[in-house]
Amino acid sequence: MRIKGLNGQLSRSSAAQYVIGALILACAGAVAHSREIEMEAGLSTPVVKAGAPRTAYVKVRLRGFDIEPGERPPVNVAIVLDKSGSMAGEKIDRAKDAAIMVLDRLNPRDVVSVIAYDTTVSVLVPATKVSDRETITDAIRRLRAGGNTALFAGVSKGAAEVRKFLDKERVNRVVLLSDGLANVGPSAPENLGELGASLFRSGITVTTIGLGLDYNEDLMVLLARRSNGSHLFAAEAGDLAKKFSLEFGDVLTAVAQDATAALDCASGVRPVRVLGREGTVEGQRVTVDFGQLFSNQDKYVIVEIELPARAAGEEINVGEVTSRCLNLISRKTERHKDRLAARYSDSDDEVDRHTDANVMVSVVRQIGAERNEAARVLRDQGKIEEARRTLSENIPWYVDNATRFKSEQLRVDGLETMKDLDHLDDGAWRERRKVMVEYQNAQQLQSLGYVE
Amino acid sequence: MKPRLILVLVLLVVAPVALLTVLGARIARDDREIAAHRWRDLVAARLVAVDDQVREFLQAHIRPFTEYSWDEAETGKVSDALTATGLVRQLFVIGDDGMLMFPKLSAESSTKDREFFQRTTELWRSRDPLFHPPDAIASPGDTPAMDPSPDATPFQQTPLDSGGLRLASGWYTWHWSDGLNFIFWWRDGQGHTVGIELERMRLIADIVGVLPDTAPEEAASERIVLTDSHGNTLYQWGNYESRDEARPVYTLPLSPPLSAWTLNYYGPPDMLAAAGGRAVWFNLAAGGAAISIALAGLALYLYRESSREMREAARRVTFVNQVSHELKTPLTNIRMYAELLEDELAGDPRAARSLGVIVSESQRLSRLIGNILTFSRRQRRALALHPKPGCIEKTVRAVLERARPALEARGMKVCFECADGDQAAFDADALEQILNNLINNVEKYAADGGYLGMRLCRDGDMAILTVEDRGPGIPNGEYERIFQPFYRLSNKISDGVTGTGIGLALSRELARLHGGDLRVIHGDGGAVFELRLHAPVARGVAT
Repeated sequence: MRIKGLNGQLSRSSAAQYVIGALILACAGAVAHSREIEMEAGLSTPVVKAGAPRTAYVKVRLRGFDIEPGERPPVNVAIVLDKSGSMAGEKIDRAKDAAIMVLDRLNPRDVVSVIAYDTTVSVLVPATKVSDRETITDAIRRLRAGGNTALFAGVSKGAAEVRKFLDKERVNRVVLLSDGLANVGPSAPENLGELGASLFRSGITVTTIGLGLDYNEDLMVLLARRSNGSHLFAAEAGDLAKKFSLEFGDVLTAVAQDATAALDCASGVRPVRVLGREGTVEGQRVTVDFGQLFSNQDKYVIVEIELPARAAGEEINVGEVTSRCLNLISRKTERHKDRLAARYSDSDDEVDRHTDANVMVSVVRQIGAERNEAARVLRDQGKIEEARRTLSENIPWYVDNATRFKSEQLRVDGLETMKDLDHLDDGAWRERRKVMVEYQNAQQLQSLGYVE
Repeated sequence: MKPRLILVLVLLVVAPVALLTVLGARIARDDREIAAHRWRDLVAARLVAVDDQVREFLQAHIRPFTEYSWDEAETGKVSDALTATGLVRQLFVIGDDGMLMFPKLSAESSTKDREFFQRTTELWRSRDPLFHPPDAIASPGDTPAMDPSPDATPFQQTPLDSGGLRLASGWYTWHWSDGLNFIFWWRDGQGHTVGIELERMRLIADIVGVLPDTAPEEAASERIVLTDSHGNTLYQWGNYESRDEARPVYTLPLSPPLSAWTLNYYGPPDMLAAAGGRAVWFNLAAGGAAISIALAGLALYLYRESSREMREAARRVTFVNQVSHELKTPLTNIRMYAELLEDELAGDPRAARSLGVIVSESQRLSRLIGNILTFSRRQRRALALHPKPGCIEKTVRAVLERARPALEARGMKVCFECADGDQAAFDADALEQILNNLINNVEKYAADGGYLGMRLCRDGDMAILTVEDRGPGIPNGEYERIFQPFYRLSNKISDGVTGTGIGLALSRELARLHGGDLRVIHGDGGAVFELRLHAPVARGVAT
């Protein structure tokens, strides 16, 4: 059940709440076709146990509206392909097929560039309107594999091509494919992460696609995540078409970008941290970047806060949620505002009854993801047993909460964690780790066309 | 003779070619050095152009920032606008009192600001004037008097604005987290020092974006590598793959503030030759080859000419030889029958005289043929002597007796003194042939002297026979040459006189084979020949 803290006024009676909630839902339904981004802010526990400071969670969710296939905003994309020696054979052929398939889905309003890198970088197709498909396809077809992996240089050139036509009203994106370890140029995950963050600030998102089992998923995921892009794992060359398809499914349905949300906590309320996503906590203000919003998809953030101790019956203002984004269809900057309030009570039962399951499921997922990530770090350090323990403790976390909040999603997360648990041994770990990284990134950024 | 000819001809070809090669190599080397130098200059110019490109890029991106003037109320907006460029990581402002005005470090500082202070801790502790004394910055013309911290390069002050308001600005670089970090600072109109810390990775990425890429189909002629302060590759382009241990042809540090980074140029080693040396080499090789071919052609021509002459001479000799051989048998018959007739017509003086001429002329012909055949044997190196015991005196007298009629017919007086009548081992045929030749020469050239004197004596194992005439004699310079085959004195003496030109040569050859010699010695008037033969006295041999 959903509760919207609209206008900060929470009715004393739960019946009234339902009425207001239903009204708002009805309104939301009515305006669903209004071509505006929908913002929803909720508190995990609108009714708080009195007597002591309490931890609570705020969920801010942005939802992209539906668009018709013909009305999507133009894209400006750089396809950066790995042509190092390890790509030789089927891999490079499938990569070429995937790139050409992507090309077929673009139209002459879009800008595309194709870059290939091995030891050096070649700009095969400089940023150009997709009008002369033949030339572009030929350039891709001519690719041959051989050499090292100058991944940093590849991304740099891709970004440089995107910047040529950088436009707030386009979907500006670098799609990077790699199957190996970056061994020419800067190659520390943190370095690539810094680059990703910087590119995101100037309006460019990087999506990374890892192929096979030899690439560095930490580097690839950090580059993607810091730029609010997806990271995808293709175990086989044959999966490339599917992954490119998935990625471009997103790219081609973007409805807004530059989406940011901020929570200004009221005095007395302490912002603690942002779960999953990168966010900034500065004084009483928490800000989060969402990047792009896609048609009919949600992106959300969970902020952990600490509510002050109050006596039962008191009501407090928790804070104000604002969001801003550039609507790519209407080409206008949209702003949304919402207030959150909480009421104190002595009754555990009442607190439970009013707990927002929707928010809590997201909270459980983010915390679960954090624990799984901790398990992954332990496994990386070779502490297999400790990783096993962490994961096995995490399974009841998912399963119990799945029952409590009646969430199918949490049950699936629990099953995934069980699979992780089965693949901790040396033989299976390398591939599973890549699956985990991909899954966790998707879960945290709600990329990959993921809908809760 | 032939091997020597070949050697001479080979030398004729090899010597000039070798000389030419040495000279050519020297020219080519000099030329290659010049070409290499020129190429290095070219490479240097290329790298400088790359450096200019990077510098221009930096200036173009940094200059707009200096337009921001600090206003406390707008700080947040300015900071956001700057960081939104992606290239700026953090903005900071130092007031005219030297105090940091933005960002402020407090309990409420964002993680971003905290990280900034963490990164720059050392800078605030350093004594660099940029971060402290306002006085040093207030007057941009002054050079900072303070020593920079060991890690930091001294900041430079470069006036950016030429119109009225003098703005100071500059770069500050420091090492943190395994790499160079960059701060660009400037002074706004109100005495604030505004600094921006650049996003290090973004700076590299943007510079990579400006630098050339690699065309896949391009020839593998060069590779330019940009390395950081640790020598790690940041970016490279060009298709040339150098070996790992290869050293760059040229290196150039980038201009400040990126002076810790280096541009390295790699190219194939034969690039030096390709830059110009190759053409010189080609020209030299072509010239050398042409001259060699010409000389070799000449040598071959000379060789063929000479060998053709030799073949022809050999053919002539063979021919004469065969003819001589064919003549020998009929001549012997003529002589035999003439001698028979001599006995039968003993009473008729006219017939006897005619027969005498026939006999002596046929004897002369026999000698001639004998000479030719001996010579040809000599040519075939088949000449051998067969010494037998006998009396030298007897042989000499027999020869003289046979020649006497012809000599006397020319009015010559023949005189023979003999001081050696012992038996000795010698080849009578050889001696006869030698004597015949000598007497024949006297008859031909010195008949006017009217005298032929011969004397036989002994010197140990050597029998010595001198033949003397009173003819015109032999000029001093010709003493040796007359013994060469086919050599004839070309003067009045030999004019109108026929001869084969092999008599003396053959005689000396025979004498030498006989362990002795034949030579000309000084005489009073005419020619005096001395023949020495190894002819030991055969004492134990019965007569």
